[in-house]
Amino acid sequence: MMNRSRLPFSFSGTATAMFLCLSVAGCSSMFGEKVVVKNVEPETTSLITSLGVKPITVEKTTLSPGAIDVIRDGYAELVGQIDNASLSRQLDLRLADVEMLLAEELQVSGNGEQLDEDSLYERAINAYKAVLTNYPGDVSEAEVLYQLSRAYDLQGKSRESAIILAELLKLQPDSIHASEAWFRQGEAYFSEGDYASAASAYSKVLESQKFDTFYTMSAYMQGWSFYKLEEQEAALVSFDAMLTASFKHLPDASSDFAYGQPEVGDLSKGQQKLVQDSLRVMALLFSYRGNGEAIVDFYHFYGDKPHSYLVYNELAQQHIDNDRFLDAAEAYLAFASTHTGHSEAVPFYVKHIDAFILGDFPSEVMNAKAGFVNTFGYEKGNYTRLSVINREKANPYLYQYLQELAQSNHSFAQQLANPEKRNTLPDSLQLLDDDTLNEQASLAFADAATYYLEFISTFPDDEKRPQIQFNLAESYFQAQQYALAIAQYEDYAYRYVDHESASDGAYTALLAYDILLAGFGDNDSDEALSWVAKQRKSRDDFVVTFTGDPRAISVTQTLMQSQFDKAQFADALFYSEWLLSPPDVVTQEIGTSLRYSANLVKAHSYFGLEQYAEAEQSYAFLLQSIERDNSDYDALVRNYAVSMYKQAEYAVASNDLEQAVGHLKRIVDKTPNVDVRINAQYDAATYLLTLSRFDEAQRMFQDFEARFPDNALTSTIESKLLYIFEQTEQWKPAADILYSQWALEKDTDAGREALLLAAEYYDLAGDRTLSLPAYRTYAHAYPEPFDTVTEVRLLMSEFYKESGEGEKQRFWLNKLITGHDNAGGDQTARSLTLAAMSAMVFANDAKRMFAAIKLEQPLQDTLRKKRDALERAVLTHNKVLNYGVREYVTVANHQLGELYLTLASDLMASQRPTELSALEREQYDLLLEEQAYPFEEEAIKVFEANAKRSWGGIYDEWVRASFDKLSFLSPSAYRKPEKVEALDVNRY
Amino acid sequence: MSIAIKRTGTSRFYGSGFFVLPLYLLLLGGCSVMPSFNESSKEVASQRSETEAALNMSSEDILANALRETEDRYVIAKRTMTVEQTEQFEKAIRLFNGGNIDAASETLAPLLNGNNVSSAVWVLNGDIALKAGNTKQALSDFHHALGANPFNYFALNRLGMLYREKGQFTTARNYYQQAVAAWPGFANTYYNAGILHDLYLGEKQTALAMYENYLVLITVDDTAGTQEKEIRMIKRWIADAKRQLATNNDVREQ
Repeated sequence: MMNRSRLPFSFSGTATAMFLCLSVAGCSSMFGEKVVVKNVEPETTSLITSLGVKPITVEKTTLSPGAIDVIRDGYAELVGQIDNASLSRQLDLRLADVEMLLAEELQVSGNGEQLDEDSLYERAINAYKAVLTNYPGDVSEAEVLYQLSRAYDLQGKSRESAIILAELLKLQPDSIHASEAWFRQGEAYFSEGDYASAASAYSKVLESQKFDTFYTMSAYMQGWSFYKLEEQEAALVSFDAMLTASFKHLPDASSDFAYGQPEVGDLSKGQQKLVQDSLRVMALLFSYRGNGEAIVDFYHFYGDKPHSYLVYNELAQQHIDNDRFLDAAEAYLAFASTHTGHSEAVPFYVKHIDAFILGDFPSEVMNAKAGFVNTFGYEKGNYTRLSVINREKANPYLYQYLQELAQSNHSFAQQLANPEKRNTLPDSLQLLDDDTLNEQASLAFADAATYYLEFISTFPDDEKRPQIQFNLAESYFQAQQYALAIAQYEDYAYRYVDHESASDGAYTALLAYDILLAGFGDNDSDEALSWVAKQRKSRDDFVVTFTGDPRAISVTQTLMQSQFDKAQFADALFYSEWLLSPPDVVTQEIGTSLRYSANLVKAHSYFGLEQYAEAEQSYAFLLQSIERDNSDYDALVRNYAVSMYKQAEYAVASNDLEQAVGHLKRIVDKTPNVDVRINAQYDAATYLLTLSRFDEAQRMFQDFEARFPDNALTSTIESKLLYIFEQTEQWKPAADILYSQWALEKDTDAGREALLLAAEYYDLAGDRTLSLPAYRTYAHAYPEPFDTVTEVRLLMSEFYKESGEGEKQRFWLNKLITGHDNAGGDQTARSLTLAAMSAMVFANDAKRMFAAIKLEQPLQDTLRKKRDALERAVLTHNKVLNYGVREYVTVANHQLGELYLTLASDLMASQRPTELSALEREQYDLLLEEQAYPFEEEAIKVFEANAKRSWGGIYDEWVRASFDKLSFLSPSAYRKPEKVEALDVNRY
Repeated sequence: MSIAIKRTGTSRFYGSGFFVLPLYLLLLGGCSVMPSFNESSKEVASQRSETEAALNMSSEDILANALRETEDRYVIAKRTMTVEQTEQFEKAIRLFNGGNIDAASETLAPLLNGNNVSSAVWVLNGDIALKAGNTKQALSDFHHALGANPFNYFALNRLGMLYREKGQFTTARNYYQQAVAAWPGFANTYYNAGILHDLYLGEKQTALAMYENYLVLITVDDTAGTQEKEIRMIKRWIADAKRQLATNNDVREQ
């Protein structure tokens, strides 16, 4: 049984024209060989074949034509014999199919030559017509109509075929052959020039959204239809739909736009032709509508497609083919700039640049390269958002372009900035004034810097990076962006210390600091100070890192000076010592003047650091190296002296006065003519005084007085010398000082005290001729304070006592008595004692006078004198007793008793008259005894009074003496010795 | 056993043993307080007088016996010397009392070595120093004597005398008090204490008491061989003290 599969028929006849040899621009190649653009006409030959539409695969029954003939004939004979209507319909239908099959066999085998070509399908046509006629409304009518249409078409009767298809679509619009039917309708209309109907018929196919062969073809043909109708927008939509359908079935294709990269080469050759034709027409249309931007707008409106880039590429390629390089560049850029993440974005951008190169637009080339950097650069573009693959694509171009752009801008900027090079500038620029040119230069440097920076960011580890970074720093510097320049110079110089320009970079950074800080003027804001600190560190780094660089000397010198100016003495000292002991390689570079400066800073820094011992040494060294007429000499000498003086101050603070004196003496010795010497000598003398090195102190003070009589300090020396004289017991000069002080201020307490002390010191000096007048003057001139003058009066009395001038002594003793008696409330225990002591002297005087009077004849006279003397003696003793001073009371008391006892005994021992008889003599003795007895009794009373003082605990020699007297005068009462029994062998 | 005695004139508690001593110490120490009877004392004295009458003893005898019979603390606390030491010590005493001071000192010297020197040895050594005029050494020796036996009334009596001579009357009085406390029957203490209070402290009442006790003790002491002359002297002192007291009372009354 025959397999009755349907075979799609191949097109012939009015198929649209098709361009051959469509140019296909190689995407990855820059510019391939030129391809000639053919006339705009649709493909016309074997469209189905060219599209590669495969027939439904059917295993054909291998029947020879001859066998088919037999079958047909058999069917024909059988049709006439069967009376059954149903079976007859099947046989008729089968007969028609066999006729159709037979015609196709013949056509394929070529055996149809035996028939008329125009009637090869005639029998089949008729057979199908007969079926339609004989069995109207049959279920197979639609299928029969399709086969009939097909037979007409194979027979070359397109029109008839279309009519039959129209009947078929009318009878069964949703037939499985509807798409084909509509396509063929469109084909028919198109071939007839009815493009509107054709477009409408193609629309029916497209509405099916089946994306089959008829869909693709319909889109293509609809595009052309609209093209013929000059409906460009509609034509572009149709062609784009055709492209969408064409790439739809590729393995990687997607209905969504996902930056897949459909390639024309992936299509069948037939599809390639139609796709390329569509692209060609679309490019043509877009060139009419605004070039690349039109494509952008189109896809913006209708949605981007994976194949869009092909459209841009086709358009650009067409422009290049036509030497329209600017338009080509625009087309490429339109895609690349709007699809930066697309895998073709980088190549398209490069083509954009290449288009300018091809067109010889050098200025545009540089702008385009800048655009590339701006689009794909690390800092400026979306480099970081690119896929790895795209980065790999962009890297070589960025590497090249960044260098070119940076160097170009840098070079241009240098031209602008350097007046000597401006003559090479374009004429238009040469007309500009200097300010404008300089401003432009700064901008160019800044631009160069951005590209250098971009390079470093993109290729941080590249071997060119050090040089690039140096160039970057240079650009910043020349663009007067000093802060940025410093950062790059320093990073470069200290990151790549071995690079050929490293030291230059580091040094230029230092220059940049100077310029930058100059801009701050006197501003001492935090920012300015921060820069100063950075500059200082940078200098440090330079000196440490590029020690052998000759410029290190000047840097160090600057550092030394600046740090010294800022009182950063430790740093200044460090640099000064560097200059004084530089690396061997630069030793010769340091001249005498610089060495002197370094020594100067060194000394001053030690001074500033309060390391005065080192400062002293440094100043001493400096002074040895310069002449006296050097303008610095005096100041240095003074600092030298102050250094020693400060050491002395520290020593004093540490309570090391010995050492302080040593420092101060050194000042006097080594810097005798400096003002500091004055204080030094004075202080040294004072510390010597404190150290009790009185001889040295005295010498220094006296030397000071002699040298500097008008100095204010001199007035204080007298008191210090006084102290020294006192401590060294140089009483005479000490007293002289005090006496002179008194002479100057007699009315003050100080003057009064000075006089008293002077008197004392004269006394200590053994100079009575001076001390006595001084005391006397005091005693007369200063009755107040009472206790003091009392002592002076005592001294006066003592003086005269020693000199044996009793009368004068008693003058002053009397002063003591009267002074005390009249002192009232000022009386003191001391004045009382002294008054008693003085009174005792007068009592003793009276006692002696009393004792001196002998009772001689005439007794009456001498006795009267004796009594008078006794009265005086009693009075004076009572005076002593009245003072009640224990020390003198007992003695006065005892002596009083003795006075009475003496009188009694003197009476008894008095001279007797010689003319008395024995009786008279006896009577005379009795009389004397009567006279004497009361005095003896009085004596006993007085002695007893004294003895009874023991009852109050007083038992001195005079009380004891009174007891002794009483033991004789009244033995029964007072001769009572204690008993101490001797030990006995019987009792112990 | 304690005894209370009523005497005519100045009256005192005297006795022996535990009760008497504190009273006596009070008598010596309370210079400004006049000792006097109280009612209970009078009753006791009255009871005792009956016993006295029965025994037909004078009050002086009773007092003297009471004092003498009081415990002799010095004797009780005495350190014992060996026979050789005793012989040597007594030899030194004899030499000293014979006026052979140097020999006495030499003889005594060996007994001063060691830590257990007898109190009496120190006293004799002090006497030798005194004899030589070395009061300072004597004071030191007597103090050593007290170190060996704090109740040595020979040493205490000597110290009282020496401190009186130095004018340190309060100290002297303290030593006399200690001497009496050591043994109230030691007569010389009363004698010396009486002089101290009489002449140097002016405490006539106490002096009177001291003299009276001394008189009682020497009067009854047959072994002492006391001279009548001394008894008369003491009696004069007693009379003088009484006179002074009476005068003072008259003065106060006036």
